[in-house]
This record gives sequence, structure tokens and C-alpha cells, in this order.
Amino acid sequence: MLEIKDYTKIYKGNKVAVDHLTLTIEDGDIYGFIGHNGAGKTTTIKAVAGILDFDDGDILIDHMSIKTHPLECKERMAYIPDNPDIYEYLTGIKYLNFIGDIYQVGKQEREERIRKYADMFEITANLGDMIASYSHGMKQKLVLISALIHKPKLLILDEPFVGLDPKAALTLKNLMREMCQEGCAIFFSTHVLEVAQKLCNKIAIIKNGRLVVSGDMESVLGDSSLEDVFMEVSEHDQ
Amino acid sequence: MINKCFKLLFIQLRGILFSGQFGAKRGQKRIKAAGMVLLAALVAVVFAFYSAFFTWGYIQMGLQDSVLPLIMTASSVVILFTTMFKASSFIFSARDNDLLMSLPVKNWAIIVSRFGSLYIYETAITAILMVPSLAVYAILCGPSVLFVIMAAVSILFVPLIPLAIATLIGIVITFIAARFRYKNLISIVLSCVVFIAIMYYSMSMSSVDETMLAELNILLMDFIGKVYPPASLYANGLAGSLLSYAGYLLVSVAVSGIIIALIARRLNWLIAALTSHKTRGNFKMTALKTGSVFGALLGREFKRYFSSPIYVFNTALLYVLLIIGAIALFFIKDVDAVLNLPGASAMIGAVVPLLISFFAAITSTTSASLSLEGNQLWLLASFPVSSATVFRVKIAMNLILGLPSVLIASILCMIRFRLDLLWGLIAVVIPVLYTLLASVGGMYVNIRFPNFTWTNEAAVVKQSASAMITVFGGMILVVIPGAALLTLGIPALPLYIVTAVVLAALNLFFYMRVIKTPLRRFCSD
Repeated sequence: MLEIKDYTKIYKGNKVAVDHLTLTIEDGDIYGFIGHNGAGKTTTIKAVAGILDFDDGDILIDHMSIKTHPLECKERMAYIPDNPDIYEYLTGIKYLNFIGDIYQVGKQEREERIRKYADMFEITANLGDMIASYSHGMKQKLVLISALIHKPKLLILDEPFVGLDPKAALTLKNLMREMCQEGCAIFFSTHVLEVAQKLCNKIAIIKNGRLVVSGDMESVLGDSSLEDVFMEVSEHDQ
Repeated sequence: MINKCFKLLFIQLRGILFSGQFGAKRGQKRIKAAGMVLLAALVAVVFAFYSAFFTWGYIQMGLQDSVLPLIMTASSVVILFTTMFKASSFIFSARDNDLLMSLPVKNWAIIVSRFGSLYIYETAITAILMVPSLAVYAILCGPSVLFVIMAAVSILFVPLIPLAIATLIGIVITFIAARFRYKNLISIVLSCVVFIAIMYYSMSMSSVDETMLAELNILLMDFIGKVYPPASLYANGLAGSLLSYAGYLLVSVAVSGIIIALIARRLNWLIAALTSHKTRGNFKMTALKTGSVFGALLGREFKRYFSSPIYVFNTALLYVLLIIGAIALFFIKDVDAVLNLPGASAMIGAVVPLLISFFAAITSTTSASLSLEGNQLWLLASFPVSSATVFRVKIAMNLILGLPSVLIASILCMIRFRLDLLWGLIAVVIPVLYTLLASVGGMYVNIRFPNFTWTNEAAVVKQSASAMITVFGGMILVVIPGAALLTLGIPALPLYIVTAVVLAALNLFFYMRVIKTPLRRFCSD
């Protein structure tokens, strides 16, 4: 579903943010993307979401390049950023309906999905209020719902558990498992290693823009915990 | 604490002056900065020249006693109008409120720093208006050195009272509006009411009997005192009363000091009251309406527009004034008498297209619409929608807002001045082309000079490079054919044909550049 091939991003001043990263995320994968702050996770995720140009390599979604077929790629995926900055001048329901229009989701499916996910995240009663009045967690829930309205085949999440209450975090984890069983591919970054270890079937660790470890969770971990592996990898070069 | 206050002020000014360099390389930054300095200098020179010329004219008429107080009053009114709708947003609705309030900085330091950045900006405008006036006065009237020093020092005090009053009016409007569900709409309506009330008050004060030219100086002083009472103290001060002069400086400092102190005392409460949102928490799902992608984006664009009173007031008001002006012109029977210009009605038919175009050319929502996306730009960039569509929607909104007013004004003028088919067509086509230019050109300028790191909307809508370039660029593009028509005596028909061709070419050029710009370019840093 998602192929990152030799992806390279160089920022101004020739700072190499990501250096020849190659990853393959297949249908049904929940792929964790781990790394220290500034390692290049968000830069990679934004490039996959089609909102960041890159210098070298390619990113294919459903065998289509995000460079040459951005709209087709974006139709198939949903992106949830690390900070839910959304249109505060809309009410929750108007925002979700707006997203429904953007992705041209049918009326019936739209209403059913909004109802279902809003109930799951316990935010239905607040959908009539302006988003400006929402807490960080409520905005995060709304962004999650909006990402699910068009039933994406690829879900890209940047630190999705930040700001969510424990119940909503559990709901999200269950949803991710459910979507993965239905064949959706999920690629997400997190610093919560316990969650990544329990939730993901594949993992990649990035350090200073370079991929240092990747593959099936079992083969990467062996008998260790993800925390041990991460710490070992982090300290390896020091 | 004063040191902290200066640091905050420095950060504020840095934000205003140096944000908007987004995505530019070093060389481009220099070119943009040089361009901005050049534009600012050009605008300053135009205003300075106007002010000097105005002063010269008044002195020639023997009105030297009232000219400086008049310029001072005009500056105060300009400051009041221009800050009334941004002061509240600037001082209370900044995006860094939470951060600043959590720092070990006293409230008054925060308020003084924000008030201070507004003050510096408005003082610069006051200086542009008053320094040339004072220079002309000094050359022609030869006042004492003390007079010149007093007048020069007073420039620093002129913005204080209007700024303080504008802040108070802004607070009251926002505070009343915050109690309603549709608070932005209420805020826009209240702002319009206040604007019209001040306009009416100023105009009702200016009923000077023209037959009493001999007493014009006294009448003018009386008028200035009525419009703006502190100006009387100022005028008496410059006339030699040191007590009045000291009184003016004292009143200026006291008024602003008291208002700053009051605001600082209740800052937390005011921010909460002015930025709070009513919630219901009782929503129940009902049937949803579906629509097209373009319709959804356009609807969102309008919601964004009406969510910002300062954005609406800075743009829609000019369209409203255009319609009011056209209606007034329609019902005025003797245009020559009203304008006090014999033969004006015969000439006005040829000038109508440019008169209407002036309003259209300087009103652009697009010059701020990209910048206003701010940190929500990622959403548009992540949608399966082309960047060209996003820009077309933004252009469409300005056209939807502007074209009806322009067409109404054009049609009213066509009927009123009984224009024939050819001139009727020109009266429609030229203003429509200028409206297109404000829409497409404004979009292009905002793409070239975006600012996504603003902390309040006023910085984008009123003070940004993009907004200023669009307004003054539009103004210049109307003034050029206007000057050619009225001063060089170039025949109107060929002039309008050339103008139409140039405008169409500019529109096409800007449009092609706009639709080829990828949104992700702005997410690249």
C-alpha cells in the first residue's frame, strides 16, 4: 500500500533531515515509526501525506507516486498531524460535513460513520459547538473522526495518542486493529513504546534521518523489549 | 520589569516586521525587504507630499493658525478609525496569550508591549503626516524655535489618546458581541454602527458657513475643538499658552495611562470574557446536506471571512460605501452644485468608471486569505484538491463580494448620467476588470508575501506587506489613467481601451502564476 523508496529530504542550509529512507507498508500492516525528537519522523510523515516536497526518491501509495498523482494518493489516505490545528470557526458537525464534501462521501455513509465514530469517542453532544471551544483532546478526537469518514486505505498518524484520554486512546487502538483486519494499512509515529510494541506488527527505528532498524516486530525484538532495542540503537553510535 | 516589557515589545515588532519572509531564500529575502522599504518610502512620500501641499494651501488662504491643529486632528481621527477595529484583536486575541500569561511577567508589561507596538506604528504614520506640515509651516511662517520644538515633541503624544479610545471602543464592541451566539456578526454590525456614528458626528460638526470666510480661522478652530476637544488644548498651546501645551501632553499621557492600568488590572478577566465561546453540549445528529468540493471550500472560505470582524470591516465596508455613494449620486439632482464644481456632471460620465474602480481596486480579501490559513494550512495541503482549486475559491469569494456592489454602482451611474451603450459598457467593464485584478492580483501578492506566523489577524489583514502592496498597487493602477484623463487631457475612449487591455493582460498574467503555485510550497519549512 505504501512504498517509501530512497526518500531524501534536505532542508535549507543543506541539513539532511531524512537520508535515503526505504520502507514498505503492506495492506493490513500496523507499522510503528520510532525515533528520538528531530530524527525525521514528522518530515517523513508529511511527505507521505503529500504536504511536503522532497529532494530525492519517491513515495508510492497504491502504486501511484505522490509526486505525479497527488490527488489520487490523497483520496486513498488520511493524515492526522501531531497538533490538531483545525478550523476553529466551524462547529464540529460542520467540520465533519465539510470533510465529507471534500472526499465526496455519500450522504448515508457519511451520517452513519459520523454517528458511529462520534459515539465511540463520546463527542456527539459537542458536535454542535464551535471547535474554538474544544479542548486539545476533543480536537484530536474530531480530527480522528474526520480521518475515518472516507474509509481510507492508508492511515498516516503522527503521535496520535497525545492529548487523548485513556478511554479514547483505547478506542483508537481498537479501531486501528479493526481497520487493519479490514485490510487498511496504518503508518504511525509514537514515543509510547509500550503501545507500539503491543499494537504494531512491524516497526522502524529512525535515527538522525537514517533508518537503523526495520522489519517484523518479532524479528526486530527477539527476546528484548522495544524499549531495550530503542535504547540500544540510540546509544550505539555514541 | 521594564526590561521584560522592552523585550516583549521587541518580539512584537520583530513579529510584525520580519514575519512574512516564509519560504524565501536569502537573496529573495533581501529583494523582498528592499521592495517593502521602497513601497513604504513611496507611500510615505505621497502622504508627506499631500500633507505639505495641504498646509501650503491653507497658509496661502491665511489659515496658518488652524492648519497644524487641523492636521493633528486629522491624524488623530485616522488613528482612531484605523485602530478601532484592530486594537482589541491586537491586545487581547493574540495567539501567544497563554504563553505570555504563564511567564513571570506582569500584566501591565504585556499590555504596554502590545500597546507600544501599536503606538510605534501609529506614531510613524503621524510623523509622516505632521512633519512635512510642520516643515512647510516653519519655512512659510517663520515661527520661533520654541514653537517648532513644541510642535515636534507633540507628534510623539498625538497617537496616545486616539489609541486609548480605539482600544476602549474595541473592548466594548467585542464584550457586547461576546454575549451573543453569533458574536462575530454582532461585532461587525456594532463596528459599522460606531463607524457611521463617528462619520455622522464629524460631518455634522463641519457645517461651516462659507460666506463667513473672514472668520474661517475661528470657525475652523471651533470645529476642531468640537470634533476632538484635546485639539483645543493643543492649538492654544502652540499659540503660546505653555499651560495648555503642558495640559495637552498631560491629558494624552493620563488618558492612555489610565486605560492601560485599567486593562492590566483586569487583563485575565478581559481575555476570558472577550475570547470565551458559548457551548451547548446537547447536539443531536440530524440529516446532513451534501455538496460539491468547490461549494464546500467556498462555504468554508465565507465562514472564515465572517469569523473575523476586522477582515470583514477592512474589505466589505468599502463595497458598502461604494453602494451608498452610488445611491447618493443617483438621487442628487444638481451634481455641480453639491460638488461645488461647475461642469462636473458633464465630466463625471467619463470619470465614473475610474471612480467605481477605485473602490474595487483597493478592496481585496485575497491579499490576506492565504496568510490567514496560518497553522491550519496543512489541512488544505492534505486534501485531495488541487492547489489551483483552492486559489480559485479564494478568488471567487472576492468576486462574489465585490462584483454585485460594483455592478449596482455602475448601473446606477449609467442610469443617472444617461450613458449611451458604449459608455455604459465602459462603466461596467473597467470596474469589473479592476475587481478581477484586486482578486487575482491580491492572491498573487499574498502568494509572494505570505505570513503564516502571525499572532493576531490585524497583522495580516491591515499591516502585512501583502495587504499594503495590494491596496497601494490598486490605488496606483487607478490613479495612472485618472491622471492621464484629468491632467494630461488624453481622450477618454482610447485611454479606457488601453486601460482595459492592460488590465486584462495583468489579470491573465497573475491568474496563470497563481494557479501554478503548489500549496505544499508553503509547508516546506
